[in-house]
Amino acid sequence: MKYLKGKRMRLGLCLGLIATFIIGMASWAQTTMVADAPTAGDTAASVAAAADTDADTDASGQPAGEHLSLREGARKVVSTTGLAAFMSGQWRAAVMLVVGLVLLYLGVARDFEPLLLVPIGFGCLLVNAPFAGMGEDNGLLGLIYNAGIENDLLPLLIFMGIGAMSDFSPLLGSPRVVLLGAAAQFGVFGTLLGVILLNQLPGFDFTLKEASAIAIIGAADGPTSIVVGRRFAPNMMGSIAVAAYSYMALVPLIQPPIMRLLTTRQERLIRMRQERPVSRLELILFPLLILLVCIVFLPAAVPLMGSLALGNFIRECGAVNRLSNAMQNEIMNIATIMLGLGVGMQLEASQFLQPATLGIILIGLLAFSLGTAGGVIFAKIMNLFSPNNPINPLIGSAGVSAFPMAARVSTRVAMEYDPQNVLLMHAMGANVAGQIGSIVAGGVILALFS
Amino acid sequence: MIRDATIVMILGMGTVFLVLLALLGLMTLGGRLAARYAPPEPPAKPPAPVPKAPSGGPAPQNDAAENDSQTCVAVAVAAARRQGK
Repeated sequence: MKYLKGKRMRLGLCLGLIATFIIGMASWAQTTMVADAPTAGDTAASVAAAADTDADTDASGQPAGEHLSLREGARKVVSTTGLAAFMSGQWRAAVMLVVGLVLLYLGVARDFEPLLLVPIGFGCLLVNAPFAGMGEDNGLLGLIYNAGIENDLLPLLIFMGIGAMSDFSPLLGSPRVVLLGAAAQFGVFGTLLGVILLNQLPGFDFTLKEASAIAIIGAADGPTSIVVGRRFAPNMMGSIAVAAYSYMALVPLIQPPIMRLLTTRQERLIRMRQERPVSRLELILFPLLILLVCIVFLPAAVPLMGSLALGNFIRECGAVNRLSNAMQNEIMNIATIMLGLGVGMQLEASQFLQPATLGIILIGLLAFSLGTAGGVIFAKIMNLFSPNNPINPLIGSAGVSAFPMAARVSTRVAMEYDPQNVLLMHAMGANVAGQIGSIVAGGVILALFS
Repeated sequence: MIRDATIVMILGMGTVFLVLLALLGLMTLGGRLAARYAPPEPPAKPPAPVPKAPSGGPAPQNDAAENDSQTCVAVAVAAARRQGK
């Protein structure tokens, strides 16, 4: 024990000395570089250029050539440490490092959408590393963003993967639940009104385009949020994507209270008829059908819907199983990593630490709540017109696109009241309808503002 | 701006319902056509029950196919045991 105590003391002493040395050097560098201290937004390249300029001339004004004094060298090294940056105006980057660590914690320890929050959190750490230049045009994250997100490539690849993983037979077996996917888009358009009303508060001044980009969080659809957010609110895209994915992970907490509030016990006990069996031909033709409907009614949504349809057609046609497997696994995984890092790049301190971010996070909660409520209430309205074949309103909440979490939540809540009442397939039908509905909602916004 | 947002909301919800109603109509129509011209395959019948062995005697060997499947199971079990070691 004594040995341990002594060891700990020595370790603490060493760490203290190192910290004192670093802080001392940083302070010294700061005092000797008051005039040319790096400020928030300075990059490694600009600091290095400034240091080069200093190094070009020595104290007597002569070209320094290859001579580098100890003082100059130390100053150069110390001035490009993260600590010096944090102490000279880039404290926001330090805050963002904490935000990145929180995202990693939520993804790893709390299992909140880990597939996306882990790369997003790591991207946040990398882009906020002072002087590392990861977010510059030639930095890793900058390259990923420019090559994959700036042109919508990665969200569309994600949609192909989602299409290849989706089974539309529950929807085809009970087509009327497609309307629940439409009703749940009230989460998008109702929230749009909420964002505009938020402008009445001081500190918020969203344009209609920005409000639409924020409202798309209500679609509970990450790729659509990224596509719309990048077009209409590029400086808020990171906050929008993080809010969308975080709330998707929180669906099991957000939805059940709203579902219980809006339904009676009797309604929660409704047992639904079994869906009709679906033929293979229907499954093969369905992706072509949604694509054609989209081409006819809403061409602005064709890139999103077309990617989903392509992935699903490749899955269902059965002729190219290798491609289907690649879309479901390799392509989907690579696109997810790249998309996460690219979104993480948008969590740069100057963009994220704004009052608007707080507004986006609050509005995201409203959006999910309105989407859930819209689906549940519309299911109750549908029951007025079909009393002989009623819908359990709990599946209405699955009309948001958070797949398959929302469907599982509907099933779980229904089984709390009747353990024999398994609504999973019906809820899955509403859930895939929500996927289609969210693309249509995104397409409407793209068509209106592009 | 509230007026603009209201217009976007009405247009947006209207379009979403229009598109998905069209989809609903086409899915219903497609389902009826498929039921007539390409009905779904009936689910596979469960295997016929194996007749009980007379008391004290071995189970009757029905046919060569069943023999084959039993051989496969025996081989798999033996392989699994060997792996376990």
